[in-house]
Amino acid sequence: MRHIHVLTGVLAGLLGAATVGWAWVLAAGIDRVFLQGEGLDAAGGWLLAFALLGLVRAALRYGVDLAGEQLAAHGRASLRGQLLDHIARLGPAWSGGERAGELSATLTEGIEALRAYYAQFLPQLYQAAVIPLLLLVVVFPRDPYSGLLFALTAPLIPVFMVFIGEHAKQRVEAQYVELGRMSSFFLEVLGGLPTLKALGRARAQLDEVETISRAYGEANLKVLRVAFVSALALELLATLSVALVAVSIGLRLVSGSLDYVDGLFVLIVAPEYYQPLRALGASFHASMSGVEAARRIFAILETAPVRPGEGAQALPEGALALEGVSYRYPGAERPALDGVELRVGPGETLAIVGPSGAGKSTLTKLLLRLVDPDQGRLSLGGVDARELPLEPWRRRVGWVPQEPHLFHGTIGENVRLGAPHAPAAAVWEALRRADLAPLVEGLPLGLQTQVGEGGARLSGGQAQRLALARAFLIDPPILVLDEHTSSLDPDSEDRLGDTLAELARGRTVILCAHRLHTAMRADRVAVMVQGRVVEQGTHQELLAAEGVYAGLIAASGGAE
Amino acid sequence: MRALLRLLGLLRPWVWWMSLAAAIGFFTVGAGIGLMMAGGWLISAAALMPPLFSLQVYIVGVRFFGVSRAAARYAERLITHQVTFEVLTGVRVWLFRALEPQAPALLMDHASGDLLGRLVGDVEALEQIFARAVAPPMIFALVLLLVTGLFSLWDPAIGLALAGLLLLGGVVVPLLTRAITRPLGRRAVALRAELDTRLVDGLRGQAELIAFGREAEHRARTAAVSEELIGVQRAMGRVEATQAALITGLATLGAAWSLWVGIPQVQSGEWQGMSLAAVILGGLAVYEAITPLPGAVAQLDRTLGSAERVFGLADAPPPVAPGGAALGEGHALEIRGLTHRYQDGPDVLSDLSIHLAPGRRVALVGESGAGKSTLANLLLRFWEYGEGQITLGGVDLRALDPDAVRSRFAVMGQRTVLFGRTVRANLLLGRPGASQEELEDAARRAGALALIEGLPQGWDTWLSEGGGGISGGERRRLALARALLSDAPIWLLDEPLAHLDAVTAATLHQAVLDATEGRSALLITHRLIGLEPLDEVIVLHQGRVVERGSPAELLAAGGWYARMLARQRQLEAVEALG
Repeated sequence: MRHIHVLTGVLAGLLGAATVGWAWVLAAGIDRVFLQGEGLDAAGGWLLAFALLGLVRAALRYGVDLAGEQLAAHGRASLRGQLLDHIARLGPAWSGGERAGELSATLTEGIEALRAYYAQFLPQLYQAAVIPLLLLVVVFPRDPYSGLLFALTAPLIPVFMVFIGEHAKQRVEAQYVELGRMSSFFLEVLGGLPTLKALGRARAQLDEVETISRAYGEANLKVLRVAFVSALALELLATLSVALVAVSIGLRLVSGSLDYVDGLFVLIVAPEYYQPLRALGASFHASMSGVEAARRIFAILETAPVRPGEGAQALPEGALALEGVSYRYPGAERPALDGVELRVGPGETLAIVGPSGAGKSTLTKLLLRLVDPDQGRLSLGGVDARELPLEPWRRRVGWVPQEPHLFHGTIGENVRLGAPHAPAAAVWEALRRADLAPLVEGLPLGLQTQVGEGGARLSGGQAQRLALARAFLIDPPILVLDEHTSSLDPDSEDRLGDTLAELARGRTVILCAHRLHTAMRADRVAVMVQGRVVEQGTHQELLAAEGVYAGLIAASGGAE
Repeated sequence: MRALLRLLGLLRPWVWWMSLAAAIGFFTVGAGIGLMMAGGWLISAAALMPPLFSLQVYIVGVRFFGVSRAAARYAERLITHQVTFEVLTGVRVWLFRALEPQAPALLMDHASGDLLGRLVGDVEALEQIFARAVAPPMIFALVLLLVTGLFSLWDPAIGLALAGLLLLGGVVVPLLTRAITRPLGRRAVALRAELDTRLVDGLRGQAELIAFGREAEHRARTAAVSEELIGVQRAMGRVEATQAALITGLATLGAAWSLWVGIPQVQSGEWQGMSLAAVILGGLAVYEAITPLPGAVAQLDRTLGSAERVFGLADAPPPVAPGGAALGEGHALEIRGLTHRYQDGPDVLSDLSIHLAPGRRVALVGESGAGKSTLANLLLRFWEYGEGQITLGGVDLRALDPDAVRSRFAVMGQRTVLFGRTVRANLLLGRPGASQEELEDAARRAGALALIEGLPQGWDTWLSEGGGGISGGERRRLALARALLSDAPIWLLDEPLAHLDAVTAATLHQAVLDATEGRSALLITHRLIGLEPLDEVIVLHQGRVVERGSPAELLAAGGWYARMLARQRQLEAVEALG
């Protein structure tokens, strides 16, 4: 990376040098023809040199642009890689939920926005730093007056850029926000047309679209008129300097205090002197969104990851237990889990019943070892999970999430999530056991059917069945099941219950249930409210205890 | 090509403004040429040490071009923005007028779910057309004429050569490179989409990838797509760099040629010697007009693609043909033997009959995807229906004006939108010109009055798209108030409680029942709790009626309704623990 920065700087310097040579050959050549009366016969040499230097300039410009492109490519590739690695370290406890949308925007648009910064702004910065300086060094000894004018006006451009620019930028940005709001008003009206039509107000919106667009345009122009003054100032500075240089050179030529060739040289390089500075100003704005993106990216990279601890002991057999486990999400007010005591023996099914927000999904994250408890411990066969290696643990513990994520790809690929090389027969067997085979058989492309947009849209119940098929395929000894929340129709619900029961047979299962129905089939039931286990026992025990669970059964009209 | 002509036709009202903007843009480039020419003249003349006054004309020229170029740049920006806004307004009004008759059918349940998203991009591309696609070629054409004419004054060989170089750099090369960049651009778009999908997959499915031991592999594959995308972008960058380098090279080539032609003329005395510097320096300043052209070609490609899609939408026949019959007096709604399917799909509704006499309230229930919402769209005349008959006040819906039909329905649904305006403006959509008392009364009945008065700016609080501190349940109450204001005789409620938590759903359900008391109402819902006050419940399964009767009858029958109700009660009992 560093050597490309150096290379960009060196190429910019060479470009400056080539420009000096090019301009000097041109000035000297014109001088020889105009003042010394030389003809074409004597001009062959310098014309050739001029053309060659022009080609060199073109090649160097290409080189600088390419180096910038290289910088941009490296910058994006390495930042995207670092971000992906870091987000992996931060884990789903940090990146899941609402943050996912913002994160994916940062990873896609944010990183792309950096291209303008690397490919345009940085090379311009090098050119602006090197070329004007180089030209000044050459111009000063030949024409100190113009050199002084150059030296005095050049800093004014960045000053203008910062001084007027900063002020104007804010106003322009405010206007862009307004413009965004305007556009969204229009699009919102388009998207809301069904509502407006139902209200009989659709056509009345036409006037409003026009009025608002027009009013916005006028208000915006008032502001832009001011903002454009900064552009005017920059342009004026550059063109007036050239004009001033031309006039002053002319006057000094008349008085004989300056040579024609020097004067002409200065006039030729004058636009080349200001050009990089103005281009820097232009690319400055383009790079702003990149800088903003970089801020967000570095904020993510600076977030300290929380990794579950891990040891090297062999995984023991035995009961899975949570012993006095508490967990609080960073920044959360109250703990998601609060002193939870649970134990599931080998081959036993434990159902956990509770409303949303009771801590069931946090429990799942703990069992999958995505996070470690703040207090207490998770153990397997009496050994603290933190002493056990992660990979074998996760192979041992399967998971059927509440709302399984369907990956972009085919149904076959989605079922094979845990066993990428499973043969088709095994996949079909898993689909059959998950009661999804009839649906997939009915699709023309079968296992090769794409999931989601442009392919099969699976309902919530079908998606959960696909997750069940994933679990059937890898056949894990311990299983964590999150029941789907939304209500399916009773028949599918019963069938899903049967499938769950079959999957649970011969396994250790922790089942987060939303339906009392499902819970009743389990060996034991634990009721969770606000991060605490309020009671646990078998269905009969809990009914006899006449506590929360018994109350639930009664409130919902008995056990059907 | 037809799309291009039609697009240019759309721009016709602003042709004078556009010409003015282009003329000023042309003047800016011209002043740049003039400045360098006058400068070259000035110092060449000065080198001959003439009396000072004879230089005056050149000095004035230099100053004029120096100042006027800056002023022209300012005016150009101002006018270009003015025109852009004019075009923006015009395109939006045109688009709205064109899409309005189509809109619901286009925007809802369309096969390609992202129609609105694509429309956003298309509108943006159309709005940019003047500043980025039309103005640069216009300016270029004018500069081309100027250069040819101006430099031919000295020698047509120079004028034509410079014009040729401009055409080469500004037209030929961008069109040739387009052949390279277009496939690259398409590849880049495809790779961007694939990368986005992978990234989102990796984030939303991160827990699963970890649990199933596939995370590192997924990350490696994402990085590979990223690398490939960057590779394509670099190839495009190389093309851009080549174009920039080419323009630099062309400038030297033009100057060298001009010298080759000019030197003998100076020697032979055909030209004044001081012209040489002016011709060369002026000739170096003409390439400014080329710079925006490659971008213009790409923009025009994008804009034309967008224009074709938008024209395609606008030209589609409207989904329903308006009839001219007068609305009847009564508002009994009668649906008989209604069967409907979309294009070649299966029947989403088959042989459905509903009798909605004034004051009668009917619930249409069933699993999602059973065709319930289709009925709402057919009643509102968003789609033409297939077999069967629907009459309103005894008149067939097909014979009526769709707007007149809609005016008889008070609508609230999961798709009902609150707009980014004030609370008051949103409610006034229900009844334009409603008094403050009427607004307050409707809000009170919807249970939204305390909520509105508690907002920071009360009735004038701006509702933002993102929610703006208003919860989903509260938004539904505002929508309910708006429907109340419309005071239409028949309520059409399409999943008014969807995606609400159990407690909010229960209270809002009561508000809906209160609001529809004594009115005709068709309630489409999958929530079965609390339907007891209704006159009839119809259970749909795959578009067919499988059960119907009063809630008490269905409960006694012990069918789908009874079993589903029991389960929903269970879920609600568990949720009530929180």
